[in-house]
Amino acid sequence: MIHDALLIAGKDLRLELRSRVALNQVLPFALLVLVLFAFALDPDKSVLTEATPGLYWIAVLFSALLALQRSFAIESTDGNRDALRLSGLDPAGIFLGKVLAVSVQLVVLEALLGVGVVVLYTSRIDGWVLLAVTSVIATASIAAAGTLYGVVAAGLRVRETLLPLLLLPVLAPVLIGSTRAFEAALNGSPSEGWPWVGLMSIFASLYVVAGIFGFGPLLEES
Amino acid sequence: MSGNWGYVVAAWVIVFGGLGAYSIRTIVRGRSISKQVRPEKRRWS
Amino acid sequence: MTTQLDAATEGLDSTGSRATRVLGVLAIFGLAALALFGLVLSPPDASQGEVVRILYVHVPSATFAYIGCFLTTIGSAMFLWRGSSWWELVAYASAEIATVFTAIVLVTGMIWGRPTWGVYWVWDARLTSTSMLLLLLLGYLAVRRLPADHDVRTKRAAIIGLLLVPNVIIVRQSVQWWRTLHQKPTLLANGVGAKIEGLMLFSLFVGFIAIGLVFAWLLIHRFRLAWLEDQLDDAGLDAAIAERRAEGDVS
Repeated sequence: MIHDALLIAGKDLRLELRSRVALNQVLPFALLVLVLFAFALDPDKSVLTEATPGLYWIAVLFSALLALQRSFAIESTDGNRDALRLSGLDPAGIFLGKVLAVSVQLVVLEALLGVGVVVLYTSRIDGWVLLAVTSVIATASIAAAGTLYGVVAAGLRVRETLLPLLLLPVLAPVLIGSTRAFEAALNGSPSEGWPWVGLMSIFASLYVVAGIFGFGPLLEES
Repeated sequence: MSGNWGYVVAAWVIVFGGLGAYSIRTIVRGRSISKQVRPEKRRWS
Repeated sequence: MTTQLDAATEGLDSTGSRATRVLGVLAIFGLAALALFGLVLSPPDASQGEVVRILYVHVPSATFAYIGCFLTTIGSAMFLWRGSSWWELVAYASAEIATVFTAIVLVTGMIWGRPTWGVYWVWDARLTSTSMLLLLLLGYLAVRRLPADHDVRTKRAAIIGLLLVPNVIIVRQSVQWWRTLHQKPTLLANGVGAKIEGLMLFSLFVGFIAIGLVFAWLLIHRFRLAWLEDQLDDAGLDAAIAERRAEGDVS
């Protein structure tokens, strides 16, 4: 299972290194969202700085949607889905590999987006440990739930509109949790943030388990 | 106090109206689809 | 046996049966009793006034909306585990009914909130998580009704149905923390949790029975409708033959 996961993750990441879709399209989109927030909210007032954690995670969520669409688009061309199914790879491994690849891309994106926030919104960064742990757990949550719901929507004509409808309500706790944890870290009271990390860990484990068991039947059917 | 009866009536109308409308829709669709399915496929009644 | 069944179903093209008719009559009596107790016999609340009467329909609707969600998750699990299409239909039927109930709960909750809190919407934990529940249910229904192969949409919908209750629990938990960490839950102090007794408690009890009967009646009808839809889906040819036979009978 682990071997298969690494195989799939390696394949997806190599594909990304060659095509640079996430780097050339998703990342600029995320930065664009940050700029749009500045247009919508007056940057001279303190609104932008106060709302930074929320705006940051909204930008991450929207970018994650694009990254996930991309992750399943590369499987849908040239009958790749059939090839994947017939490859004899463990479905759980395929799931974990996809999650891993999306997570790696999101972590890179989050780091660059973080630099963007610091530069554009002149935010002050504090509480590094909590920020890092929150990012990792939230990313794992988004990638696990996103990959599971991504395969639910994959291969359908309505997939572009269906995935946000399915995924965003499910990710509401992750948005709330990661935003609160970031706020706690930036306000210098990290003890308020850790319960949220715990909640997101439960969320992530739930979706990893659901994906490990649910991916097989989902790949089989279509 | 009497002003609040408006809220009460509105809520009850929505509950009864909503459930009623949904029931009627279910029944009507059931009737129209029943006609298209062979009776022995219907395992009730 | 089959001829008996045929005779019984002749001229009766509906999702009804003797059982549902009895249940339906009971439900109507229940609703009448609910109106009598909830609107006429029970006294206004000391602190809430007449507005408390909304709760006699609001609270039971909320309870049965949750029961519908549980049935959806259980049905989806049984379908994925055992491949039982009977449970799959239970999941689908109860998801749709739960959606209707959740919408009713949201609207009546807002109407109750207006005189109680002065606004239709507050970012109260209960209201917020209920609105998320409605969106989750709409997602399930969207997948279940996809214009795709029957196997595809039932299996994919079942995955979503299976995760429905865990999602609701996590959403509720997160929203509750979110609201209570930053402000005290004063809004709930005179809310649904306030204690009630006597005729008011009895009215609420009548509400549970009446709404429960409506729920059961709807569930049976919706289940049969879903079964019929599947029959049409699976065997379009069969239906065409039946239609032609029916035409032959008429002429």
